[in-house]
Amino acid sequence: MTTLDELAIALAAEAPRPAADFARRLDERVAAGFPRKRPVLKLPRVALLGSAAALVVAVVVAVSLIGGSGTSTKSSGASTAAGSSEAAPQSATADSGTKALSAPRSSAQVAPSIKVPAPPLTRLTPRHVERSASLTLAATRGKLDSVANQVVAVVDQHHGYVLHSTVTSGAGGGASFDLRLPVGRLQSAIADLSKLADVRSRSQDLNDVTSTYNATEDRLATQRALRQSLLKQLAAATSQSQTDAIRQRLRLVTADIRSLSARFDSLRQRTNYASVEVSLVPQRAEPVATEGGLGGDFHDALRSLFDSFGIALRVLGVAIPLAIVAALGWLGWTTLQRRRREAALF
Amino acid sequence: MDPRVARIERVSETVVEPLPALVTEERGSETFESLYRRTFPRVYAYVASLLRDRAAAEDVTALAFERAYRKRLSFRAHRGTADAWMFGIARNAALDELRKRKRYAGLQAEPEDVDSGTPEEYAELTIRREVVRAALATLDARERDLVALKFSGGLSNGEIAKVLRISESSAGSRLHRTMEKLREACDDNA
Repeated sequence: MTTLDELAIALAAEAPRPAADFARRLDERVAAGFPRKRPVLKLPRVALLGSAAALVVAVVVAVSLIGGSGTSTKSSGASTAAGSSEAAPQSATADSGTKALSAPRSSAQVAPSIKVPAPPLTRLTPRHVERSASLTLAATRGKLDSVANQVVAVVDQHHGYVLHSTVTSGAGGGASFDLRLPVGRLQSAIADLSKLADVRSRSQDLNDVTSTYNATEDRLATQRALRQSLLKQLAAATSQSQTDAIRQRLRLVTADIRSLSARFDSLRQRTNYASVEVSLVPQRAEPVATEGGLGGDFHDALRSLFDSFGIALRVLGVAIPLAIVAALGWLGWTTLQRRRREAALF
Repeated sequence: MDPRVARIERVSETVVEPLPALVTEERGSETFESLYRRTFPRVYAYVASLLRDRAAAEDVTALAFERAYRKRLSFRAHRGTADAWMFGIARNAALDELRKRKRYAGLQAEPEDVDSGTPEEYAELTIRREVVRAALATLDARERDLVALKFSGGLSNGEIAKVLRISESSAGSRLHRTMEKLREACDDNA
């Protein structure tokens, strides 16, 4: 056996042959399409990957929708107390309650049998809060006047008033309003104003002036009481010098009362009416046909397209790195698997 | 007609859904059953040569065809022939089995059909077979794998290259070196 041909023939003859029984059994399985012994509920890999991708897309879309709003709310002063008029009393009650509880606890450690009376509750005073808001609305140039009129109508509807307004027309047209709205109707009024046009920005500000309000009120009451007292003294005065001195003091006290009253009225006005600034600006990237119709539809379609493109970019920003990591993982796994298989030959 | 083929056709008539076709470049559209019938003896021979264990070879051959059936939709004709695809699956299954068992059991002697007429011819054939087996034992596992793919599996050099994921020229040169080594071993043992 010296030639390769002879060797090849010998090797081919050496090839093992399948047993007839095994061939018959396998024939039957092939013909039956390899029936499974028991049904296995196994999701295909593509379905799993699809589900993961859908989850990622849903998260990205949700994040983009939540983060896309231009609304902001900020507060100054006693922000937690100023959130609602009821919040402050609750806070005051909680504070006093904490003090009432802490004393017996510390005392109980020294002498548990002695009951220490709780300190009297502090007077529950209502909170006085100045509220202000600003709103920027955008409308097409053709609708600026209409929206401006609707702003005034909304203010009337909510029993407020326009303190100052400026409406300009032309290329740089727009309008601004300085409004006063009853505090109790502020939120509904802002909601109605927001429906008039596209909201570009919205912010609200809170400022707690309770201490100033109460101090002014107390001082005004004191001065009024003093004035009553001085009037009684004046009636009882017996000499000219006494009368002059009392009148001199009365003039000073009356002037003080006038000043305090003006300040108090101003405070009351500011806490009863919220200050709302509304800016009305023209829409950017305005289409040629501003009155709706085909041009407006085309503009809307373009905006939708840009929005979709932005969302797609965000999704891709997340999906591409994930896909790269998954591909690298798959590549590494298959390489490792192949090397382990090849190692079986050694 | 081969009685086994006739039996397969009878069974196929009872199957509601026909076995799907594999689209191959060299044979156009080919059913899985046709591929099975064409490659079954060679796949078994290759797996048995690799595992050298008759029972394990039967299990692995059945497993390989079942895997191929389940993955038949992933076959792509442009990546290679259906035979190379089938032998790739069989090789992976055989290597998995080798890795799992970590043993190289000797191939159990099969009662081969000997069509030699005279006792002298029978004796000569037996001696030649022993010489070839002894020579094969001198090869390492990779070389035996190569020889099995070529002579038990009946694959071309191009198909072997696809199965082993090497170039065709590399497959050819490796095979040539192995055959030279095998021939020298046969001459030494003769």
